[in-house]
Amino acid sequence: MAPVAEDIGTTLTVFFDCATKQLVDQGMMKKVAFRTGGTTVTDGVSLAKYVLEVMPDVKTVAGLNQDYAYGHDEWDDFKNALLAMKPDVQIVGELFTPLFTSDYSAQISKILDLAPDLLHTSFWGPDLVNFIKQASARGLFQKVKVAFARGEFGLSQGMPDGQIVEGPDYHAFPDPRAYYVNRDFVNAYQSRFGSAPSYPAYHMANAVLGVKYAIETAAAVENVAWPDLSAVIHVFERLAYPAPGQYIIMAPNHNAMEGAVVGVSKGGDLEKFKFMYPAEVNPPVGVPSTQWIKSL
Amino acid sequence: MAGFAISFLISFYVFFLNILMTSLGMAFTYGVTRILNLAQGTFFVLGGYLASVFAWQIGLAFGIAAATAASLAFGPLFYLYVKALGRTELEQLFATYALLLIGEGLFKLVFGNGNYTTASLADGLGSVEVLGQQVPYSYLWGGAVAAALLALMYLLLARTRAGLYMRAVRDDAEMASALGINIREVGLSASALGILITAASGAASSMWQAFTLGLSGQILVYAFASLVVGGVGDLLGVVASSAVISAVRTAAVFLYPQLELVAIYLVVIAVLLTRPSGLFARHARLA
Repeated sequence: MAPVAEDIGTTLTVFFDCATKQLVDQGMMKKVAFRTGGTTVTDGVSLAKYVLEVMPDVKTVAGLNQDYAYGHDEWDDFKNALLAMKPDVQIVGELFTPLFTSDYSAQISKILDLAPDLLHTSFWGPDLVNFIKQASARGLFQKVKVAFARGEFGLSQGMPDGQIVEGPDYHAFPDPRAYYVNRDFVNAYQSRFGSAPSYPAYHMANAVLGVKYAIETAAAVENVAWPDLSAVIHVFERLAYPAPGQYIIMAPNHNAMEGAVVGVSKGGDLEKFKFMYPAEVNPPVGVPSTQWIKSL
Repeated sequence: MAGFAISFLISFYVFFLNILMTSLGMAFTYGVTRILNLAQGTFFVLGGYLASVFAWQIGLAFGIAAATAASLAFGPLFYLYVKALGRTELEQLFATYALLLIGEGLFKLVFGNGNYTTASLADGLGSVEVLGQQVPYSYLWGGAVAAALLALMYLLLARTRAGLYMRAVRDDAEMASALGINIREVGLSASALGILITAASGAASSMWQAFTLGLSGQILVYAFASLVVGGVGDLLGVVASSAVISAVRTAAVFLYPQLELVAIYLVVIAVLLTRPSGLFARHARLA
């Protein structure tokens, strides 16, 4: 998408939830393409940092991820960040399953057999639900602690207690009682859909608000009713704005510096959760992510 | 070693159950009516959706039963739809594929994009511990459902007059027709039964699987593999081939996980090369 959008060059294109780090590492968002969310690096590094805070003695780690670019990137970024910060961690298994696998019995058996201290997964959607249900039924969560990248959706789908869950966004952060943007967002979402907003809702809000603020600001600066594309891009490249889940800071590489919430699951909520600051979990602009992760 | 063996056996059994559940109804329908139903997954998913909705109102067992009963109406409709649209096998493929797409659209309209499952209710069934490994009762009940469906199909085919007609139509439809069997009625009841079996399997599978948009096509992969290996339309063949595929897949995950999907296709290719009519087919596949 990004190269095509740049090729055509006439349509503002905003990625709201795709997580691939390639867009940043290969400088694929040059003019009209932007992304208002973090990458798999954000997920992996924030999760690894939190894991080392709550499990400083973690020795053996296994991964169970989906067999496509996202799953491999999530696992590599988490694994490399963890190994950079704690080199004596042993990777005891790397499992990948096809997207939309409906039965994880073999993988669950294998993980029970490996008995690692920690299992990492970046499952989402039906795969996340199936894994949670099937692993719960087999008693996996009593024997192995699991770290869920982008696992926030699982909180409403029977996530067992005591697991490490990364958002990246979570409806109770920033505290809605203190931060009106999140309060209004949660209330509006709740009254319309009957549940607290999930992290993709936050990511979509980031994108919609980013476009809105870029256009409004450009119009005000140029003193016109509708600004032209180059003025919008000029503003978007320098924009920082309040969004429901956090302040979004756009960097010169057209990608947001986004932080991430990580916590421990308890009764469908997160407790002891922590916000990882954007600068702590994203490489500095211009530094390739693999190189930056090694330096952690 | 005992621990390894038991964890292998559990995964083998669970995946065997999964494949068997997705391919039983398909094998039955094709066996009697020669309709290769690409919309098979649609009815499987429908069973799962309905069971998940009903189970929260009236309990797990009744929910699964109600979903199965509700799907009974779709059998005759399906048969009439396919017969009206397609005479040749190719046309039937198109007709059933269209149904798959229509089904996905209707599911989106009716059920939205949520994940539907009865797994939380099935958790209440508890689990039994075998050599330190937890085996959920839901899988054992699922096995009982599959066994009951198989027994039902066997009794029907082997012991009743209707079954005799079905077997006659399967072996030679033209001759059966000449002898006074109403092929249309046999086809109607067989596809109704095939869809009933499929929906019941889907409903029972909701105990361990979440149903969501896009699944109808996904589950065809394993169902097809099972049909090709077993020999299309043969019940015992489907049971045996589900076991073969499950054993291969489970072994692949344990020994060399990268090969999980490839291993299944390798089995399919090997069977197609060496015994194109399937490992257990009684008759050569007709052109």
